Amino acid sequence: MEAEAPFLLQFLVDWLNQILGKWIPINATIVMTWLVSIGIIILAIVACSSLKMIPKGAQNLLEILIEQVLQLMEGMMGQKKAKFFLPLMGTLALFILVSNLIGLVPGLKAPTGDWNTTIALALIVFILTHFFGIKGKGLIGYLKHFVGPIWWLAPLMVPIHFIGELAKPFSLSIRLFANMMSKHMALGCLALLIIIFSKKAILFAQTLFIPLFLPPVIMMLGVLTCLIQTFVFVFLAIVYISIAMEEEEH
Amino acid sequence: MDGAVWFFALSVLAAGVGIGIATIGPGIGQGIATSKAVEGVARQPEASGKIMTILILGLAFIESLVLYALVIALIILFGNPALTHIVGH
Amino acid sequence: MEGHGGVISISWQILLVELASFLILLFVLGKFLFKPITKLLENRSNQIKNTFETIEVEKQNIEKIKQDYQNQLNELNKKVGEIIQEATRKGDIQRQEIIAQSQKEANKLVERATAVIEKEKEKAILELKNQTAELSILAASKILERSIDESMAYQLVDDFIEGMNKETLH
Repeated sequence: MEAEAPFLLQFLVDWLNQILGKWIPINATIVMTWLVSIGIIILAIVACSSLKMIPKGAQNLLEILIEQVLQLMEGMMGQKKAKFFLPLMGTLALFILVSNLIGLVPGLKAPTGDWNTTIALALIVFILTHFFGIKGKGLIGYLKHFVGPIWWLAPLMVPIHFIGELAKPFSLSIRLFANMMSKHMALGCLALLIIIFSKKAILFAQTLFIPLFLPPVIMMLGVLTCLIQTFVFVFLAIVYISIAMEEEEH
Repeated sequence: MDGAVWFFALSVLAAGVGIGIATIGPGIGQGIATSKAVEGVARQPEASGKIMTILILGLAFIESLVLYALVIALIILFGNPALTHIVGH
Repeated sequence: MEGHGGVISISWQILLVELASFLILLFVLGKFLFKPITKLLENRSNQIKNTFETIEVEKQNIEKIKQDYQNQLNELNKKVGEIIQEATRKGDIQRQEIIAQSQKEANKLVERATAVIEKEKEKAILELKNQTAELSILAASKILERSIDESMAYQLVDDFIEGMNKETLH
């Protein structure tokens, strides 16, 4: 599990390490993140270079995604706030979706399959949640939420709320990362089985059946997981931010 | 067998058994959630979109329990912080 | 840093790099993707709204025009009906007039014919009377074999016929 980056990716990592290694730590994950980012930016520029009233091609694809995210947000936090948060949520959705799906390509690694990436994403959501919570309710109003409705229960309620707030980004990051990584590992283990079985060459027909025909099934499930996890991450981010901003509710 | 081998064997055992146990509860929970969602859709087919959204969200929450166990199993297997302490190198 | 600690590892440097790359991506996409696309979506929804409003107005206009046409058609129909009625009435009157005229003419003709017939009748009666007188005179003269004065004879016959007329003809 040490050098898990495949050959082409490893080559890219080494090359970038030679150039940028002095200033930034270069990793397979970081290289993949950059690749995904550049891909998304190219897609965006291609789509936006010829925006038309009647969408077509790349524009249509992006519009469907953005419209979906916008619709999701409008139901949660109203039209005005939805417009404000659209760039953040749209970028999150695009980045996570493309990152998840790129992990299914053999030879490439999903950036979201690394805990560092998902922690970074969850951290952004966490910071924005509390920033807009304080901005929306004021510092005192925001802290009041931690104390709860009954003042003498504060010693009990404050730690509970505190831990609850900390658990949000934790579970958010773990959910995405573990889903992506477990799928990646399942595929990796099956690939490992192929190597082991073919080396020993015992019962070739029966034993190779499993590692050769199971990966497509896992990949099909993987596509579903990618879409659902993207939806869940973005949805939860929207829910957290809208809950932090809205007036006294619970 | 020396300590390191024992440590490795027990780690593998703990990871495997831990994941196995951890999937029981969430499995039952997801089953209950799905069955209730199906009942809801059968009773009110026009609300299927909303039910679907809530169901997926709930399943994600339930699933995260297994994922905690998975993370712990992986930590036990690959990234145990006490590993260097016990084994020595 | 590479491959440090296996699958599960947190290294703050990598985390920071990830954070920075995501923020850069957010910034770039916000500038190049979300601004134009939001504007486009807004424009499109506005356009659709406008189109629908225009359609609504057009629909009302069409409805109005249709109503106008209907009214005009109704009026026209009424007028045509009136004209036809008028024409019929006039025709009727004319027919009546023509009938009356021809009736009158016919009556006149009949009258004239009657007068002619009357005259002919009178003439015939006169002739008959004369002939009868002559014949009777002839007969009487033959019978009597003596000639009476012709004027006396005529006087006699006239008296006779007059007497007969008084009894029989009238």
